[in-house]
Amino acid sequence: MSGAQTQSIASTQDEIIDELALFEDWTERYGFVIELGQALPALPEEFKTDANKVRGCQSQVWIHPTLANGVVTLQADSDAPTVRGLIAMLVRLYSGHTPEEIVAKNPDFIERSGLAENLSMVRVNGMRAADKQIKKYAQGFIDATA
Amino acid sequence: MAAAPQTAKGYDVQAVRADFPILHTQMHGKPLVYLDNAATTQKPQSVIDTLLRYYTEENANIHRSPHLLAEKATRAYEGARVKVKEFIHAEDAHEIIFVRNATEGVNLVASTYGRKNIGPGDEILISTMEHHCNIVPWQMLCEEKGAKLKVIPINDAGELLMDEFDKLLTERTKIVAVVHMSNVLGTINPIEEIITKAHAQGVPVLIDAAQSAYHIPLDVQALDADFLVFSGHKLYGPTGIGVLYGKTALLEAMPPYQGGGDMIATVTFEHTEYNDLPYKFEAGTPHIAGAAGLGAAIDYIQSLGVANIAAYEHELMEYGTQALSEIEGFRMIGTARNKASVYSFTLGDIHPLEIGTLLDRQGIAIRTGQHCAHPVLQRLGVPSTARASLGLYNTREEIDALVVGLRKVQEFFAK
Repeated sequence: MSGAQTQSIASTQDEIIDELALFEDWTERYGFVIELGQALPALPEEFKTDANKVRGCQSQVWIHPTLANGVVTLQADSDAPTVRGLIAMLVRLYSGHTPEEIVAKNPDFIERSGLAENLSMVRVNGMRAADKQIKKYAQGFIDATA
Repeated sequence: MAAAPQTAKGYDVQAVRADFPILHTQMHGKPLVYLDNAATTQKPQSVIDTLLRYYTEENANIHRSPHLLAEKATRAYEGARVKVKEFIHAEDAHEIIFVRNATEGVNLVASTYGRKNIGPGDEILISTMEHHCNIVPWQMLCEEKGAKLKVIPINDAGELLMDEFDKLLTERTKIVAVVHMSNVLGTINPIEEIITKAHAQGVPVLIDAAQSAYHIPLDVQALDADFLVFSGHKLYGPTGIGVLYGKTALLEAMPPYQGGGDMIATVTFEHTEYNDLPYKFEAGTPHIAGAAGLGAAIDYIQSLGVANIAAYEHELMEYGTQALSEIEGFRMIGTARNKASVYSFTLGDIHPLEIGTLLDRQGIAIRTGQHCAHPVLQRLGVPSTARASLGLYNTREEIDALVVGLRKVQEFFAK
């Protein structure tokens, strides 16, 4: 995670795309996404609140943001393994960056990596909802410190 | 009204399958096994041909223009109304109101009958296993009018607690709205008993037949249902067309739903005279092609015989229940004694979304999630389920494929 704090969101994104490109077989890629989810630290139960929940019908997702020393740290969780993996990618993408950087960047790694074709629209839309919520948190931090 | 007539002998499922072009396609390079019929059903060639023919040979607006095309279109549309009338044994074709879907049917009744007849302190009675479409319109009405929504509870098997229904049905109850067959649990509710008891108190009953209409023979007169709704797309017909049935006297006493188009008789800027039934409730140009397609779907179902279909599906469901229950970790959600065509389940601790995804890669289409019926899952204490649901073209081989598919899902997560 220390590397992620020094490099830009864009280069982290390229890194993720490169990693995903290693898997040609769908099953392997699916397994890789699940592994990423398994590596994501569990979100403490106290943060699994309604306020931290991303609305969606298929799985439960919680994202808990904190701001310290001008940068955002994200903690997140989901009850579905692949969704957890995807959320882990967003956490890796944004954690350690300023709210302004987060608000300014629209991730397109889902499309560029070919993940969009591998995943159902339901999950791609879920990812977008999670991204939107992270941006909302970031905007909230900007507004609060303005 | 149980879905188990004697026998399905003579039901040629392979001949039926030949009528559905999509069943011969592949998904992810695998033959499609379509087990998501509770969400929507596939369409037979005759329905597809009817839509094509309508737009190729009959397209015109209805009821107004004097030319032959308009006459053909009007016949297609009104002919479908008569087919629906016969399908559900309504007394008169003007009791059949074409709407977009079951949801719009419920909204129509809540907005017109409900607004007119329900006031502060009144109660609306629904059940725990309602789909959102039979919850939210009533909730909105309650908020507007200061009325109360009361809910019939269920047991752990997913059956209505009829003793509780008896207690909840009071002089304050102004309408009962219940689902005939649950989309999550497959439970078939005792709607005859509900209607009889409600009528004894002078309370009208709306039946949500969205799931039952394609599994169970319907007879609104024998049931004495006051209102009944269903969607065309679950009945092997097109999307965007549905039916609200209402008794003549009730419909006539209800104010119109939307203004414009066919719903008027005369309009001046001072006053509008409303048209007769059913046009009073069909504002604007309706889904003419959709109605024609629904008519074709009904013809198709009638050609097979609803009782035959129900018998075949019942045998298939029993076969599947047995086969699936042999899988280790398989847990059926919804084990009502009287149920049809739906397997809602969990598989160990594997998330339903992952079950659905891994089955999809094997060509097997099921639904996962909360099925737009959050309260019933909350009641049964499961956050979401996987759901395989049967239609008239499914086979034992497809159930076997589902069993194999689920074992592969287990193997994947056992690694």
